[in-house]
Amino acid sequence: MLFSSVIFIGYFLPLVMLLHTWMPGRNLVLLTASLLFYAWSGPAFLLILLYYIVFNWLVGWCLAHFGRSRGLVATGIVGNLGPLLVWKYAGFIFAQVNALAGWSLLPVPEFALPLGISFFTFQGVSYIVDVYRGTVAAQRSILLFAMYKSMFPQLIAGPILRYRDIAARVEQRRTSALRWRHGIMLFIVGLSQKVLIANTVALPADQIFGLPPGQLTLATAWFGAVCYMVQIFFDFGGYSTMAIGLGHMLGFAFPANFNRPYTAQSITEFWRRWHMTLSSWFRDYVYIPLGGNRGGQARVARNLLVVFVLCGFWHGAAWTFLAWGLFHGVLLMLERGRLGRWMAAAWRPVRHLYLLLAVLLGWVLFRADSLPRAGEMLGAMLGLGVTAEPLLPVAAYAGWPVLAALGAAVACTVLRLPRGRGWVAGARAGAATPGLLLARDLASYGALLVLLVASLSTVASGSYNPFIYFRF
Amino acid sequence: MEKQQGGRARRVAQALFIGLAVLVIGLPFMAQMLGFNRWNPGENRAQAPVPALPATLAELEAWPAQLESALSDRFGLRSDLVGLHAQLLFRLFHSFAKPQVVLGAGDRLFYSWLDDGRPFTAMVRRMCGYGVSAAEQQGLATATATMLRAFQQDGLRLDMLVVPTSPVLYPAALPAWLRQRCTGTTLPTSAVLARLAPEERDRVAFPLDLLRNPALPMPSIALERFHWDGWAASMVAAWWAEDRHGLPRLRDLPTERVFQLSDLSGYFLGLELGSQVLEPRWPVPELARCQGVACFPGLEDVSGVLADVSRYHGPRPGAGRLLILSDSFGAEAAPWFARHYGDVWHFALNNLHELSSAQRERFRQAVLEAYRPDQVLVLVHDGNLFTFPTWLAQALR
Repeated sequence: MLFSSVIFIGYFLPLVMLLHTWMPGRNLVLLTASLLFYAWSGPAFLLILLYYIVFNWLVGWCLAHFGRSRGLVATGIVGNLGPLLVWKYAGFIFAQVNALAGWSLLPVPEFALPLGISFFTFQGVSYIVDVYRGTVAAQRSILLFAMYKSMFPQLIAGPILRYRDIAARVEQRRTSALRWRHGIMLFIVGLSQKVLIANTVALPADQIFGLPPGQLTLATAWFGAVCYMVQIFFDFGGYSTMAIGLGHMLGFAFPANFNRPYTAQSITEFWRRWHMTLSSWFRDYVYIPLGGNRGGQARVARNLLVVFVLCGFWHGAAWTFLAWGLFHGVLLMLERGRLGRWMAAAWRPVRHLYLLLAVLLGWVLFRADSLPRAGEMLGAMLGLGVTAEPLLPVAAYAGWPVLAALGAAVACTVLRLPRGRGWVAGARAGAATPGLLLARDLASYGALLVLLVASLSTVASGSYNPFIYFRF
Repeated sequence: MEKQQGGRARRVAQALFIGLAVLVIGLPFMAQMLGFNRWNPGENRAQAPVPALPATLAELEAWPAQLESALSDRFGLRSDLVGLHAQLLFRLFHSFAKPQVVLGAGDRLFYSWLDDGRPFTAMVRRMCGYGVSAAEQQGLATATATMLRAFQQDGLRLDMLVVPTSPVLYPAALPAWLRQRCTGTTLPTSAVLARLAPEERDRVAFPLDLLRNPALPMPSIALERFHWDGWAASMVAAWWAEDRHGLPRLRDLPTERVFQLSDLSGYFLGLELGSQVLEPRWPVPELARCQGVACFPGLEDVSGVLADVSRYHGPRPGAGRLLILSDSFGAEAAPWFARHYGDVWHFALNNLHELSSAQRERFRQAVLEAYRPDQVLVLVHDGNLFTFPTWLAQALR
């Protein structure tokens, strides 16, 4: 069930919010709703989620009762990563072994990937390690732990919620009108980003990345890459924003996941702004345990490469993701050396241009179906292997709605939207008169309600699938 | 979470905002409960059924997706929201939700079906001929000639009428990026005509000059339509029957102008784009008309699948029998041919592939052997020249 679907917005969300707000036992309501939410993507997958819940709770319980044991932590990590390896990577690994062997040495399994498994695997690891480190106390109630582990707003696409982030609110939390307002605002902003921007530019991005060989032009390749760059941020960022908004409506404060990443001045800064819960996870549970910034340059470079190879593979079992991770890892390494010193001295727009170009090229690797296809796209962006007479020119992909979505994306990226406390409470109220604050509120509310209606009509339009072809 | 500053007015505004947002989100659900969820027949498909509660594990696996489809077809205010989306796109961007339709100069609509999921490649290639190689042109000519000869072997006279579509008739009205692809190209139909032997070429009619004659009092294809209406169809039918085949006109059809929503309106539900179209004014003395499944006794199952079928019967001494095998351009044209024939049977074959081989054989026997037409007319639009001749030769031979 996606947040931007009819079933979620039209049925699930109103019912769950109603029951969560007015029924007693709201943790049970939330747990039941979350399990239903997950089962919707495939009831059989629910067993996997239940395994993660029970397993992690048990390991946490054992750590709390039998003392901090390395063996238990190792068991916990293996028990979390094991199913991920099987479901997500076994097929890829077996296929590579077969390719190396030159014949079908191993049968390649074709498992359907359980939704969100990468997220709740990392969540499980963080829980066990945090309990082991004593950062957080193990949750005694399996029901409360299940509620945390399966909480639907963050279940399938993050933010990667660590138990310590919300431990205090699992048993005691308060929702207020202010929190509700903040939650609704974020939900609408996220929904609009996903539906009005990401989905609009997704169409040309998909079409261009799917063009047959020989149909790419220089302009088309660049346009496709830019559309994808916008799509992936507003799709994922929008989804995270919706999740955080839903969290507020339920009384939780989830950590932020994005902070205007395309305004960064370097790849190093980009990773402080992009998918922040994932990068901080890798920092805390991989990079620092590997040694972090300690040791010589070679050691740090190794640590960075390990982290980014893993980060690439976390996104998917394909060489393209590995290449993307390596690309970022190498750039980060370079930025720690001469490139970084040169960049520090460079003019600010040059630094920004470098970041945008580097990220854009990375996204081509990330999006392409295969490395050869990525090579074709990147080549076309350099003017290599392009056609002078494509079936459709770039203008065919750049209709007014797409251009408007790109314009909105630039505006959202460049403009500093009121965020967090400043927005919630009008914290800088001292600088404004009550009338001005009220006017600003009313303008925000009006704009958000318009965005909500426009987004709902777009979601509804997606359900409209006329069968007209037979007529023609 | 900090306290809000600014007093009572801001708190009231906040409460109002929360209330309105909750109302907007909850409105479709409430509307459905109250029964405001009319289904739009313009979608031309059956509403997804509400699934029964699952009884087996396999049913349980499939149940969420089935229920989601059912609810997606039934949520309250669905048509209104879809219409609102169409309105927003059209008013703000002169654009449509579905990529198959584009707005050109002078508010002319252009349509192209998706080819491998990609919009407008079908128009650019199949209608305008951009990027069609000489080898492909030769292939089309060979397929057309094969179809013409195939029917000849059965002693049937088969002619073909290829109707030019809007991009070919009005390339100047296309958006600039499409105009570049639709001007200065060799039209596939023209390429086929150039490659056919003279006796075969005489049997393929392509009324391009007739339909794009600037002296015509109105456009051959209305601004808001993909298909022609009675005005162009009657003109072409008369040209084909009288000028090309020397047939006498047996009767005239009284006509009327009526307002019709665009035949593309399924792509923009909620936008009332339409035009005045010319139609025969029924009933017509001494000409019986039948449309739909009941017109061909014994072939009801076939007609049910083909859906777009019609029959005209107006016997006159010496009047011949015409069989029209068409795409969706045939329905508008069929009655006008009844001015020159005593019997006209018309079948649109877009759903031909859905017939079983037994149904196809019965259909072939009924229309070719039992009806035994004096003339078979294959009537398609220019984009279908790439597929129809091959299909038809394979399916009915």
